[in-house]
Amino acid sequence: MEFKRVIGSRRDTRMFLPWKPVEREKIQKMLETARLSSRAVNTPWGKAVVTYRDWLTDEQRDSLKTPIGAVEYDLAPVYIFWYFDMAASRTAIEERRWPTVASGALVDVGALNPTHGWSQRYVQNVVLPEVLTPGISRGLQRGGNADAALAMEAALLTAVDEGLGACLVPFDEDAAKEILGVPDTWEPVLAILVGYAAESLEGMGQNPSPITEDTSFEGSLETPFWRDESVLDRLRQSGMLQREAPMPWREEEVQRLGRMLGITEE
Amino acid sequence: MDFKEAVGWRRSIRYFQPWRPVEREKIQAILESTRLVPKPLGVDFVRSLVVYRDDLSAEDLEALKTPTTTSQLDMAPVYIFWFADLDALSRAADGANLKALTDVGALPATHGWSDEYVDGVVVPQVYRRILEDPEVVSMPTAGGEPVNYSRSLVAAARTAVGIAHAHALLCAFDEGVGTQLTALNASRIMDVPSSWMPASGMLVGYHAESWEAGGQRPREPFEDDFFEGRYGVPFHRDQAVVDELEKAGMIQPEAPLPWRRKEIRGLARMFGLPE
Repeated sequence: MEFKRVIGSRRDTRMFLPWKPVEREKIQKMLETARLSSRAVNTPWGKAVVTYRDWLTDEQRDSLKTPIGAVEYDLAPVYIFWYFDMAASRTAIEERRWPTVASGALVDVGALNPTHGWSQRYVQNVVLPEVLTPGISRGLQRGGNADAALAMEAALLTAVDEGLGACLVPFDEDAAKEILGVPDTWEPVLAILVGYAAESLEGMGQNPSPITEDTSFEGSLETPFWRDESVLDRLRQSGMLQREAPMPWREEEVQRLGRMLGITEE
Repeated sequence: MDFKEAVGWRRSIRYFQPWRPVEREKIQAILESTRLVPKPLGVDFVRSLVVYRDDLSAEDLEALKTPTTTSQLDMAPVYIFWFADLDALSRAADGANLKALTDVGALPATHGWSDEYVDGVVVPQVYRRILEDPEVVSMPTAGGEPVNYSRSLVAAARTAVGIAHAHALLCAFDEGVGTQLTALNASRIMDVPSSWMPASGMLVGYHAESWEAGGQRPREPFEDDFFEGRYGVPFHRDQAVVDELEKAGMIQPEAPLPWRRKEIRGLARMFGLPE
């Protein structure tokens, strides 16, 4: 699918076809995309555990739910739990087993070059002591990691490209830890719930978003980034900008699907 | 561009054509792509500021540099500074944003959503708990004393920025321009609200190095990152899927490509930089 149509077709899918399994190869593609995503100093901050609704007991499934993610766990056949590996920096620096900046691998392969001041000596004498090591001396730092989330979102967009529905939901940290056995050094990000969408793309519509001028600026914070209407036209033609919710028939779609899925009373 | 090709061509570009401006419409497209992100907690945390290199003084440009961000700053004509507004959740604590999503059917009644659910459950059990998390993170502020913010709040804000970064980076390559996420300290050259947590900035410009940029960066073993069912059980990597992604242009030859050293030497001569 064209990139802009993927961006435009992403929805927070909350109604999945619970009986339709997801091909394992599509899950692998999501993970492959995450692995190729940008990350600071080439360190793998994002980790994931894939599990399947039908591998869990009802009690385990219920234990994962939160006030803003519950019924979705009953419907989606695949869950991918994303974490920030707080020990990744220490592993990269002390064990040097990954091809990170700390290991010198990016200098070796010509990604970081003498034109920009890089050399193995620069890594050893400047970057390690001034940039990387001070971070690990503070110990494990909870509080999230943007690059772990970046990897997760890259995976989610791949789900859209593969024709799947997906949504991000929070999960109960303690329950997930018991079910998945993840290390203490992993902090939860969010889960991607994956499946085939029961609801229609058009019915969900794009969520109304704040206008860019409220959140984006140009030159200084005194000047909102002005939106050129001709650019919006181009993005509409590309499929990136699609009709905003709600469609007039959305309520009926939700009611009918609710009955089909057995999540509302007759 | 096909989605998988955009993923495959993304690199951290460090050589830009300094003389070639980036069309404003491409910057707008990048920003528009970040409007269409999934929003953790339904809150708009992300803020961006577009700055043009040639509008900055030489002193300000130098002030932005860090040990890992050097000559590429001189080359890239556009910088996008990204922030997360840590006050965004407080401002959304009336639940109005969630009620709006309930109204349009994005948060459906079949899943228990209603205005009463937002007021009676989500705001007190989710929003308030995050805002009142006793575990705090000390955040530096622009020119002032560090301020403690709830750890859960900071984590959600960082997650929001990372999601926006994913869209913005790929959109840049789809628009035919190169980019790199890198450390930029906006607060050294401009005043931003103290609640705005800086995140990695984006340098944007037309490639001076080839799109291959020496090849895809090497990665750790797939099995170190992804597990199935339980931590410790690697997610088996099916070679047939890898082959398919190679054909699709998503998985490309890994660095170093055999001609990379010659390319770097050529670029060094082009820009008068050390070889």
